[in-house]
Amino acid sequence: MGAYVIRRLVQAVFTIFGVMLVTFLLFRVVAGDIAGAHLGPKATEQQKREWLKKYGYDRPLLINRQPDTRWYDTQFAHYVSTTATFKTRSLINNEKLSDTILERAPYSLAITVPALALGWALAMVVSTLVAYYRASLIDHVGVFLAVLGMCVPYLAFIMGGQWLMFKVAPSMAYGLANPFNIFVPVVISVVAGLGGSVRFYRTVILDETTRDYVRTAQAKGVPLPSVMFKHILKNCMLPILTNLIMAIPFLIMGSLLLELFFGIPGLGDLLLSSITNRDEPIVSGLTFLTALIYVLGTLATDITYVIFDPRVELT
Amino acid sequence: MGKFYAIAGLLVLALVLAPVGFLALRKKADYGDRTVLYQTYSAKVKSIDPATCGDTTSASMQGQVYESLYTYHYLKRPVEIIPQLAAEMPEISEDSRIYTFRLKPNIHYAPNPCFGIKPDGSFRTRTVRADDFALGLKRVADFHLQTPLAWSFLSERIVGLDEYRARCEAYREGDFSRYDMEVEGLEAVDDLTLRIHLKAPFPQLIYVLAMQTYAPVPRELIDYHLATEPGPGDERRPIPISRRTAQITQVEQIVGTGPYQLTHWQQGALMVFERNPEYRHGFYPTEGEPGDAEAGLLDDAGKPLPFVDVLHYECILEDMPAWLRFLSRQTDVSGIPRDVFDTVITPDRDLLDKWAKQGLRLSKFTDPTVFWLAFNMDDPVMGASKSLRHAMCLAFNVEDLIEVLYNGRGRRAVNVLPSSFPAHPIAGPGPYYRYDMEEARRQLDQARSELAAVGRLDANDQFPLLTVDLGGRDETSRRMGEFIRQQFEPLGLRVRIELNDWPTLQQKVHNKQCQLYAMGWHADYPDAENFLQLYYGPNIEKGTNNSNYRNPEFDALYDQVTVMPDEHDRNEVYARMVHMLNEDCPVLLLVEPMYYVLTYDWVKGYKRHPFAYGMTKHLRIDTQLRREMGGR
Amino acid sequence: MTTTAPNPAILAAPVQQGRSLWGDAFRRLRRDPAAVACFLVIGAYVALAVGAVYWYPDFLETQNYSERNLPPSADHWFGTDVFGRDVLAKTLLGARVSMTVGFMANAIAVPLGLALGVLGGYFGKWIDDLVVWLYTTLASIPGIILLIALKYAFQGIILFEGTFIELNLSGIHGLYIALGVLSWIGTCRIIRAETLKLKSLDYVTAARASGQGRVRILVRHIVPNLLHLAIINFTLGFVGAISAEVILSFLGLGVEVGTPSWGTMINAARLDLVVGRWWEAVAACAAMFVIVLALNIFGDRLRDALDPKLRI
Repeated sequence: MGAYVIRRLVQAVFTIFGVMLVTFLLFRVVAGDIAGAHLGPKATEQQKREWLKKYGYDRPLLINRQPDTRWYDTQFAHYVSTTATFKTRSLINNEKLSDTILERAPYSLAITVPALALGWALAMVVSTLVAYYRASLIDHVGVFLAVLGMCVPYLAFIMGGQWLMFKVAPSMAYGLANPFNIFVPVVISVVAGLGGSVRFYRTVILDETTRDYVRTAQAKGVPLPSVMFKHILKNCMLPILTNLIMAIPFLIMGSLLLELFFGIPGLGDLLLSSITNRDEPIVSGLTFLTALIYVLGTLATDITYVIFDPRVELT
Repeated sequence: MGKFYAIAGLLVLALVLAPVGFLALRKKADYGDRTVLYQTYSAKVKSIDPATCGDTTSASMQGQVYESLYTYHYLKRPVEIIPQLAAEMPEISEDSRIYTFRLKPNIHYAPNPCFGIKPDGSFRTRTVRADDFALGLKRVADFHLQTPLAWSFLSERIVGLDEYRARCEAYREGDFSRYDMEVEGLEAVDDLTLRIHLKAPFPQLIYVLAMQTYAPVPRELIDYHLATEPGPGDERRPIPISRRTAQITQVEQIVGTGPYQLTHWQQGALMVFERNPEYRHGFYPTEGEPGDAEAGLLDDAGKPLPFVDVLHYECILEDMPAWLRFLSRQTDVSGIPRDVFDTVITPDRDLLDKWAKQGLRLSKFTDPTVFWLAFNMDDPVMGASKSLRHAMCLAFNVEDLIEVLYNGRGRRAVNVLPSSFPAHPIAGPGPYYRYDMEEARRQLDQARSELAAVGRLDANDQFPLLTVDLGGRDETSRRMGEFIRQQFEPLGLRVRIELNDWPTLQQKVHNKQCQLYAMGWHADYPDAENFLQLYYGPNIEKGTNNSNYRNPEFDALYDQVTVMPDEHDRNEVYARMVHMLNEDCPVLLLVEPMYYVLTYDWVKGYKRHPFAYGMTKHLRIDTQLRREMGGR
Repeated sequence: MTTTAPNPAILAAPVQQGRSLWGDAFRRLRRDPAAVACFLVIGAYVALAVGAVYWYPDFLETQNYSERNLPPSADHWFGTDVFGRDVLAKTLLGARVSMTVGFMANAIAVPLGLALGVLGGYFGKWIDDLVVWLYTTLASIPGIILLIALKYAFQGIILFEGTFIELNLSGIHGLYIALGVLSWIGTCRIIRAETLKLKSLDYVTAARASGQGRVRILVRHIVPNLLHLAIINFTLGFVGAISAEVILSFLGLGVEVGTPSWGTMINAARLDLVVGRWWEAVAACAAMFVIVLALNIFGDRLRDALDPKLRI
């Protein structure tokens, strides 16, 4: 058990290193002539050199082979040390990444947290219902609708939802002038995700329903609703909660598209504009943040799994 | 078990409602009983530093806080220059090379901690001095600041300024002692007298100095905000030189003399300007052009400005949401998104009755802006055949473009100057800036032989594939791209459209990697030179001539005209230069866009100015009427 | 002689079973009306992807500015677009982009996932560590960010310009590659797990005992028994690729200007929907909905038929 946890931790460290390497290389390539992009086309070579020097882009990429230098005096090392501590600063307005995140993350969370909670609750209710009436008309219709919902393009949900709001309550269709406006993207996100969750939860619940102890309980005369609420759902919680935990890292980034459509100044919106503006430190910083939370999230899930579910094999 | 479900339910409810709590707790825009103007803007503000300003959105925001020596008369048309921070028009020496500016006394900067803090915690201020202007100009020339637009008007103009720029290179960006160097041509004679020495006569200088990008900058700002940062306790500690930036990027670093101060800026979301308590030198004009009095534009004549206490600007990048906020009376002024245009405006370009009855008023105007597709004259194909350029101009149906993609809001550009410029009618329409397929085909045949002669046709004796670069990735650019293809297809020209981000396009253009690309120019001042410099040979090096057009005859005339003091004489020469461009077609002219602005009845004194920014101070809001009509 | 005798029988068994697995799956699918219907739909879309260009050879030149933005009518069942072109034709032509993107992306991703999964699972040790590290790393970074970044990195790059394999990375070829190199993770995971399982099965042990080389075992005995998984993933991967095209087109990072695609049609709704021009977006959404539905159901049935254990 202890050995397993240690091994997972080591793995996580390697993964985080991998994430840094991939984001570093990818975004350096994306950035292209980064000095030119920031200084404007008329910048002279001398200006570009100065700029690269100021922001540390003049160092070797991965390994410093020059004599009389430390081998780790490189862009990558600098990137790791500033990104890992979120001390990196925007190339556009010199603002510290940690400040920007603190300012913007709440807006992203304002969409994703309610959407996750509401989506979870709704999916639970619907899938319990469908599973309870399994193989009946309700089940068939429910599954059919869930599959239909999964197949509608996500953009169609967003555009349709916004268009509907324009028709019904134009002032709620954009922006956050009224705090309750936030529920428009929340509801859209819940509706768009409902089909998939219902299908998944239903399968999990049905798997549990066919187990021996349920049959035994029913044979003993315990009514199904009672078994359902007392045992089945409880036993289903582990896979379902795992599923939820896996969604948490994506909360912080919010929904890129929803933020774009509804004019919400969250991190997704920042990420998109930073990519267009070639604000490399911000893009890699934000990507790293998400990846970090994801890695920690999976680590936590795996460990809780081992603690709470003795059936899980340690592989 | 029941408890579990209850807790889960409550938890979900709490999580769902939490954001409302957070959003409601945000710093509320509570302006008390002050008058507020609500407006939206549709692009991100890139710069709040006067020297680095280069886009119209940033300029219109900066116009509220920064002022320059001169400005334009709010009402008079054709436009007229009037003193702003200067007391009077400049005194110009005999040889037109020395300009002496007398400043208005007792102009104060907006209070700012860089001037010191009074015992009661409020900020001090100080009067504007001549050397502040010199510092502003030195910053424009600063090698370490990205000032492409501002610098392009002054390079090689002022004695010693180019040398100053070169000397700055040796300094590090954070080393502000470079601002102590003297520049020969910038002379602060006393606190209220500034003298500028020019290398050669430059009659447009007066227009240039009406741009707020040349606003005065107090030295205290640099020493306080850019060289120190808050330390432990109340002390400020110096920032190491290696970490300093020379650019103004934070709200508290803005120190201007304008009618407003920027008090809140949430990037990409909100800008709030509040009245500058030290602003006392602006008054509503007492005369205008004919018709202004009848339109009620002189009702406030002579009153001190500004009328509105707070400007509340929301950034809404999408047209439709902004439009709907306007319709629900949440904002006071708005453009009309092109997609709803037909539902607002009658076919003969008037406001539909149903909107007029709702208290909306329409103002129409043509901005001094021209859009075009530029040919890269250095390109082996585009530059090699004048007939090919002629053919492409003739085959492009601009009337259709205006109908299909501009909703009829614009007029065909017939020469490179905006139609409001006096030289425009003198020069007349270019012979190839019209739609004529037959002539286009004839020109194309000619082009085929021209290109064949220099071996620029491809292996099958066909025209090579042409690439058109556009500076945007959105649906509007995509449609523009499709339209361009459709225009050249009937000629049998194969075209590939490349969508770029704006900075990428600029880079490509600068590196001369484009064949054809979409571009436009908004006049900075009412002199044709502002447009013609885009074709002046030596400006290829400077980066303003991006079509890479070279014509020694044209350049000779340009050199001649820029030093001619008399405007009338200049216009004659300008017309001759335009004729050359009409013949050589370094650009495929498209549209002079027309703008339609709607205001509610409660907005008084609205008149769009074609060049000047910072005219919002003339607006008055009838708050009582606004409340009665259902606004906020 | 006596010791080797049983071996061929054991070795043949899985191959035999494999053959009957395919036959059995085919029979099960054929008897399932939903699967047959979905297969027909997919077939129709493939036919469209190949044939629509011949049906509407000069669609791009059919602009007619006097008939622009017309609502659906008898002449134009789905109305016309901003240049007066028939939206029905545009929608049918759009199938080409979606289907090719789906196909090409998976043609890159699935073999990649298969190869890496088998390598990792079979050879173990540091190879396996490397494969696992690679996919956990990539899986940790949100896919959409990687996709956008990759597409940005591809801007303006044209490989092999002028030759017949010219690859315009800022257009659709870039989409194939970006999606391909980013969506092998799922396949790789499943294949690796299955390989680990297969490796310890008796027949593999027997084959090894009979002195067959590792590579030979891999090619003869392991890969054939993983192909069904690859095919299932290929079908289900289509859906992801089609949706990704739409989102990238929306961000202006999709296909070249002038190529009709559902993504750009849906994107057009940003300007059109508010003034009541719904037909273009609805046509594209409907076309996409049908194929995604068909692929989802067919993929599920295929999985049920080929791999009953995997049923979710």
